[in-house]
Amino acid sequence: MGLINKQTFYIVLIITLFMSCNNSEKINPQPEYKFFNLQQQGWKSRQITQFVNDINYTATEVPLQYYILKSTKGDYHKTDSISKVNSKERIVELEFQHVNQTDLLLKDYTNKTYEDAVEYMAFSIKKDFTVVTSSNDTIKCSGVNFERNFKVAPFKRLLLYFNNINPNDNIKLIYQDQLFGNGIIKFNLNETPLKL
Amino acid sequence: MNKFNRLTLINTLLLLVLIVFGAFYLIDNSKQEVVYVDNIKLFNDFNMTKNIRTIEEAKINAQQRQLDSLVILLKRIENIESDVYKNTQKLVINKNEDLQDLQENYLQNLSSNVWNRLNSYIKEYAKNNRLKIVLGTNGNGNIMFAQKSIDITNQILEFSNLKYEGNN
Repeated sequence: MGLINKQTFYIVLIITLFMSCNNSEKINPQPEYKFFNLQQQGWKSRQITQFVNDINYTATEVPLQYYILKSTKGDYHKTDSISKVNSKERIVELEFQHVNQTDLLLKDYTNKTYEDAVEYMAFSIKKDFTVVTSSNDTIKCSGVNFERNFKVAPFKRLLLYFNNINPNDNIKLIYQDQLFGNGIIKFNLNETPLKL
Repeated sequence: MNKFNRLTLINTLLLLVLIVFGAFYLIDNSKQEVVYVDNIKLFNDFNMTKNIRTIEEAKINAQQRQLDSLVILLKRIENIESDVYKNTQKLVINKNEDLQDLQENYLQNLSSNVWNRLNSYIKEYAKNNRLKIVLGTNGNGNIMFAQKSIDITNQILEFSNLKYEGNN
């Protein structure tokens, strides 16, 4: 009788262990909450605005997840994994806006034809940006995306990409303005873009 | 008699309050309405000036070194009628012109860009601190004398450097 009880105890123990192992995957913290928090905060971190020669330059560091979510279509697990793989990347959004809300790519402001100014904004402007990290590394801009709005909005927006930055580092964006000729403009983005 | 005393007391009190308010108003209004900054110190110690100098002087030095090498090369060529000599001479002239352009642009851009930026920061500082006039001294006799207490060069410099470094 005692032997049967012992056997039953071991069987129950093994089943319990298996069950608990089986459930371990489902007990993951829900990333939906993290994204909900990000959504509530408007997906933005600290904004730095520099006002030079009637132009407002606004730089904002945007969390990677914001852009990854667009291609993963709301799959939070996938977004979380992709963002972890690309954790050394940084995206900075830079907006240019004149105080009178006029088109900044006009010849009056750039000394270039409109077409050349658009071309500069889309390609050559990449070399004007660098980032200095809190560990004193200088990182060149690896890519730029000019979001054209065809004069619907009064601002011009650029997305700047930087690679190989330690996820825990703070960054300072340095822009050498060759387009509007306003010299060096710095943005101290010393607040990490919302910790997940 | 009692009523007269009370009225005198109230009037005296009101008068005193009025005098105190008036004095505070005058002190507040006269407080550093006119201040001055040392233009040369402000320009030289502003971080933007230092940054532009470092970047542009490196470019000028590189161009200068190229020109020096070409001049040495030109001096070594003995036959001054040869094509090599003439071509090198042309190259030296072109490089020299480039160097002069670079130096002119550097001086012009440094001054205009830095003063543009400083003016906007001074304007903002004056607005924040309710200053009516900010004078600039540069040692050439615009302002012959000013008390040290109204010299706000260090404050403006600190404010400008903080803004320039991208801190809002």
